[in-house]
Amino acid sequence: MAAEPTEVVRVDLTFESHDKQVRVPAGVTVFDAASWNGIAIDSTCGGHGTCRKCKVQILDGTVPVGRLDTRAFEPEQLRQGWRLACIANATESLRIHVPPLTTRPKASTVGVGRQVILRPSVVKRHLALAEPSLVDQRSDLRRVLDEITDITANVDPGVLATLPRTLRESDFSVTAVIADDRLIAVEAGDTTDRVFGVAIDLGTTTVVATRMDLTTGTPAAVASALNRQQPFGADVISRISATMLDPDALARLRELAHQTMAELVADACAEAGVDAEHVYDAAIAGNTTMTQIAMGIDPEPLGVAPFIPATDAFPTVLASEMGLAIHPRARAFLFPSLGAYVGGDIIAGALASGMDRDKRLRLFIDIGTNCEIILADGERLLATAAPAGPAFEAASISCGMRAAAGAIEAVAIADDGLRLQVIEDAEPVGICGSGLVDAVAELARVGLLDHSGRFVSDEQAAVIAPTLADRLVDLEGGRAFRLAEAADGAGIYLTQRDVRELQFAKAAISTGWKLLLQQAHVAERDVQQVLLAGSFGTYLSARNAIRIGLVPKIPALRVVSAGNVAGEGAKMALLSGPERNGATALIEAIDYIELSDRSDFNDLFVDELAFPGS
Amino acid sequence: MTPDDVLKALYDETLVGNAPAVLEWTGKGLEMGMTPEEILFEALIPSLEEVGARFERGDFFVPEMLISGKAMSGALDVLRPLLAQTGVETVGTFVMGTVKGDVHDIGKNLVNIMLEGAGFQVIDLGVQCPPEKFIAAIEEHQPEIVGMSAFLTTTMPMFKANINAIEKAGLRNDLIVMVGGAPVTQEYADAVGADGYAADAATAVRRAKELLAQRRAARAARV
Repeated sequence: MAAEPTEVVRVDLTFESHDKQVRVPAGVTVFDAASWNGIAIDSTCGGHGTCRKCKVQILDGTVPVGRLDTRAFEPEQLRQGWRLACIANATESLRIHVPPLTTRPKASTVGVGRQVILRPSVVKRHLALAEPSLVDQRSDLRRVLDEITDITANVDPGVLATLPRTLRESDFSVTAVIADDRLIAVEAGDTTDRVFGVAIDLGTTTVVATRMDLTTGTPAAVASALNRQQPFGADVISRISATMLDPDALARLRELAHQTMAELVADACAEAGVDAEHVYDAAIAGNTTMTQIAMGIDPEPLGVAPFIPATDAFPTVLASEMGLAIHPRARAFLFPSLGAYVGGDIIAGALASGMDRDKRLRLFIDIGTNCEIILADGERLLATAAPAGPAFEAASISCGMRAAAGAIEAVAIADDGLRLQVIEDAEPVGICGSGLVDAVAELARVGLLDHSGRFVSDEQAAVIAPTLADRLVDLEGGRAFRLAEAADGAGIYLTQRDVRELQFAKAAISTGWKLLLQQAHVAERDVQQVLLAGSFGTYLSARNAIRIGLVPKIPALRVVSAGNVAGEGAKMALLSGPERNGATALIEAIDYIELSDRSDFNDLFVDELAFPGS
Repeated sequence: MTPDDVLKALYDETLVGNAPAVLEWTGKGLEMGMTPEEILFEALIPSLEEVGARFERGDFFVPEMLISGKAMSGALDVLRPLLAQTGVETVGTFVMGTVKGDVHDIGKNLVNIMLEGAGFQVIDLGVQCPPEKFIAAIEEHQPEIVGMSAFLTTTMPMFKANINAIEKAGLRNDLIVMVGGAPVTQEYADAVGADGYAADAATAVRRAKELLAQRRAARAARV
């Protein structure tokens, strides 16, 4: 039995000064809640409780006085409700006054129209230090720390080795690099204009690295490549089974993931001649299997029921431990996972799509071999995973191919016959996932495929679509529709079995979102937006996805391609510590619904195999 | 109305999955004095064979197969006690389960339908079956064939584990072990020491019958 989703306790925060009311999970800090909703509060440490600048006044509601509050405020101010926003946990609804800003914070638009206030974990300070003398006998380190008045930083021991030389060679003009309240470097001269981080979308198939300029919040360079683990199999299950068969495979796969990421990061730096040492932070969004393998954690339990991940929240590790040749003391943030099949990539995607902060009823659907679905309506967040199989990658399709030159990527049936769109306008050699969806949807629309997904008889075809009827043929092993003549004389066909493969895939996905809608007691027509995540979603025709029942039957304009949201989420985590906390808060806020656990799954799945009626 | 009309009606109605009609024609046939064997072997089983053939070509899909199977089992519920009375032997007993660590069962259920449709008595152990469950079922039901299903490459190794456990329990002897599931291949089946493999439900039934015939011939030769 699937558990009823537990009630997520949410509280309303009213920012009186901004005339804005927001609803957030209880326990979130006022600072994070404000940041997530585009309300800037002064801060130089990025919400780590060290700069004591994020002063707000609680007008209604109670926030207990914290230890740091007593240092930041006079007793009278505490009585008036003044608190540091970054340690003020909102456990009840509050009305809050935010004083006008003393600095102008930068914001950046990332993800699905998300405004992110720039609060990177990495902060640089240029320091013009007084030279030591017989009178001023402070140590080198003390001399540096004394100049950083607004952040209480711990010191990474690695800083010390080169500190004396750096100070003296640069005439005591240096730049301190503080990451997450740790002093990780002291660099010669003023390097404050060079602060970078890398956002990595660690996909099973493709890996994308984006070098972000943390001073402006903009992407500086992007590089992508196939995951070098490819020879071990196309999907996560085959990678996991590789580790089960060969005791050396895990180490090898880990190495290959590291190599892939390292190469991309190097490329993203080389492009503009950026020194990799000026990259101080990394955020990695990968599915649970990719993340566990990259960390060298045995993935076997992920591949076998009951599908248990090693951990939900991964510890922050040194970037070098993930094979990244950036600053040696830079750390890497790994997105947490909700379960074996709703991983960090999906959490990053949900973050980028603002799934937890939109009152509309929305569905987030990431179509792949494994399809992840999130339902949100401002109150509830439900997630599930559906095994769609490889049809959308066209791997199990007779004339299927990846979306590359020569692939039929779009199909339309017009009055005068069949129209094909082929990638790079090449001679067609096969069909890719988006073309497959189009072909099936169009054939169903004109009636050459019946409601159950079966090709109609030749006699019926001659009546229904005389111009196309001769394309319907009997091949060895069943009926097929000829899409095109290939250059070698053989045809490119859509076979009856191909249609069935697509039906299996779409049924797995629609069963997933239908069960989530059922769980939330909402109707399909009430869905206000469907976000299609991932590269496949970008090429899919919304109209045809609706027609075959892959997504809910709503106006096509409400089915929106969201692009590489996992990568966007990783960028957000680089640009803002509060957003990073938001990813962790999502793990708490989302209820996972296991489909294979439901006794009605099979019945619903079988019902979903057919195409929806018009 | 002749018995041939009844057989024709049973065949057609099973093919389209009209359960009430199949049940009705079964009753009529029995009233007319037709034997349960006749109804089973001359109408229901051939009809399900046609279902399997159409499924292989893709003309029939899972829903069609399920409703045909359901129509047939309605008739079987009526026929089974009668067949037992007349002492007609089933084609064979087939113990079936999805292996431990795997929760997929739609494919396995389709094979069950086709096996029942071919006259096998099928004992379905469900999903996530550990070796002990297979062994207990073999001891209890004395099947000729054990079938194991796995949908994931990560759970396929359980075939070998199950076969080892069956051997260790001293039950392997004459038992036929068949394996199947989306990622399984003939090569894999051979490697784990299974006796049979099939890529789909219709082939699975053919293969099961072949293996059974071979086994019986071998046994007869020994006697």
